[in-house]
Amino acid sequence: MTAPRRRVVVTGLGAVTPFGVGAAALWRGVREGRSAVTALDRGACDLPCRAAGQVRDFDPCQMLGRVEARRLLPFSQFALASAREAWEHAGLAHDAVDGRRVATVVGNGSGGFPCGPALVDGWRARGWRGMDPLTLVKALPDVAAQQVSIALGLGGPILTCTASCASGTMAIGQATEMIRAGRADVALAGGTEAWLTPYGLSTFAALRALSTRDCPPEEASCPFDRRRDGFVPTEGAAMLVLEEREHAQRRRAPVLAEVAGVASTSDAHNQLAPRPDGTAAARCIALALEDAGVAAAEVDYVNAHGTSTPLNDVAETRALKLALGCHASRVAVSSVKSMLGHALGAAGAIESVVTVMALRDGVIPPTINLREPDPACDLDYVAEGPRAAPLRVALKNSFALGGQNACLVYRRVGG
Amino acid sequence: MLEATDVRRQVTAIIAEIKDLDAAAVAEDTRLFSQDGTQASLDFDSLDAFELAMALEECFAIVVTEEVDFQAFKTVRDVVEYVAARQTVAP
Repeated sequence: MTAPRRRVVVTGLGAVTPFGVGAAALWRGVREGRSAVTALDRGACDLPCRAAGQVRDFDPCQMLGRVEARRLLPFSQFALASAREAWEHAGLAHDAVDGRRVATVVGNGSGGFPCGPALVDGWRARGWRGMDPLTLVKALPDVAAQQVSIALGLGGPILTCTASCASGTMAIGQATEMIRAGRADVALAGGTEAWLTPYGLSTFAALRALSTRDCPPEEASCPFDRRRDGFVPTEGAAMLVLEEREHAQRRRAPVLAEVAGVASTSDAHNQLAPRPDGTAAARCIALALEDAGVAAAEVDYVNAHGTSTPLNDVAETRALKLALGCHASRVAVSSVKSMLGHALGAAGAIESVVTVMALRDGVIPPTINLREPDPACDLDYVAEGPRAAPLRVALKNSFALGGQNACLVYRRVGG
Repeated sequence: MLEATDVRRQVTAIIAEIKDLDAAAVAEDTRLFSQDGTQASLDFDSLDAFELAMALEECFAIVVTEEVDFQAFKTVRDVVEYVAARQTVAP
């Protein structure tokens, strides 16, 4: 006889997004169906893209102090600020918790490479002696996790998940598995990304991945619409406190939702294009539902990857049809990226915060800017605006470059 | 060539900036690194030492050679004397 599986719940949320600092600002913006996308103003001279989701009211000196503000690149600053918020939200700043039983799992796609030119200047001029000696310990993608662990005294397992656009979702999945396996009782898990530099944006512009459509910036991200032409770049971070259910109950922590299912698959197909038939993504969805012990018909809401790229939105629609069968035509599907754009390694974590809040409040955030539906995208994308609905089970999809698929199933807790 | 008092003032300002302190909190006989907690210090660590070397190079147009071991510098005065001995060009 095997012991019942340890269950994992969400007890704290934190975020830094173009809607502002804090998970509350994010949820307020999204549940009202507002856009946080504005005209790109990061000194990006000749770039073909004009719209971006830019974090504006984040003052690192005020949020983190002058020393950390100077030593950390923005991706680590965002992670640290949102981790502290989640930690306090969960009541862990005051409750005694054994730091050795707390895991740190942070998703990040690009680390410091968007700051590459600034980091390289001294080296070009004078070789290794001319470098900022802290270049390496600023730029490695795992610096965000290091900083979160150091700042909060988290001595359990530590891991950085790099899976481009699925990094944040992978991180939450890995942290859930750690708690289930008994390697930790609590985890700070999420994702962070800060790549809105001229160089960082240029790498994606060169791939022709960004929207260049001539339209007001807030309309550029239009998932599932036939006018979509690429994603809108965004920066930010989100962190969740995950906790073994009984551990949370013992300290009477408010439980926001359960992470009920975790899965990952790979397309094993192509570095840039998703498998067009959506079969590997569908398998990921099915495995996450199976892991959660949830039938397809029980899914009330799908928080889609929904990038507003021509290929993803069709492939994701196919994957949902394959995995959910006839229930696909009944389930509500929406893309937060229609309002925020695509925050790469942070996206899955930011969208997880939204999914948890949707379950808690019984509000489905809409897919905005969906006015001319693509005939190949024919599901209920909640285009008319935010929708009140009793929600019990929500699916979170992330489908990354290279065909890296990650899905989570969140379940409402209590009545 | 800077006056000795200017060097002291600027070194003090750099160290205060690194540790986010008021310059008044950095005296010449203040220790940089803590040693078994017996004496008050600025609690420097190796990151602080790297930043100090970088800032001194920029401020005084000197080259801080890699042989320099800041951990061997006991007090702020040691840093001031190191700079004063090498500094040839006014910033």
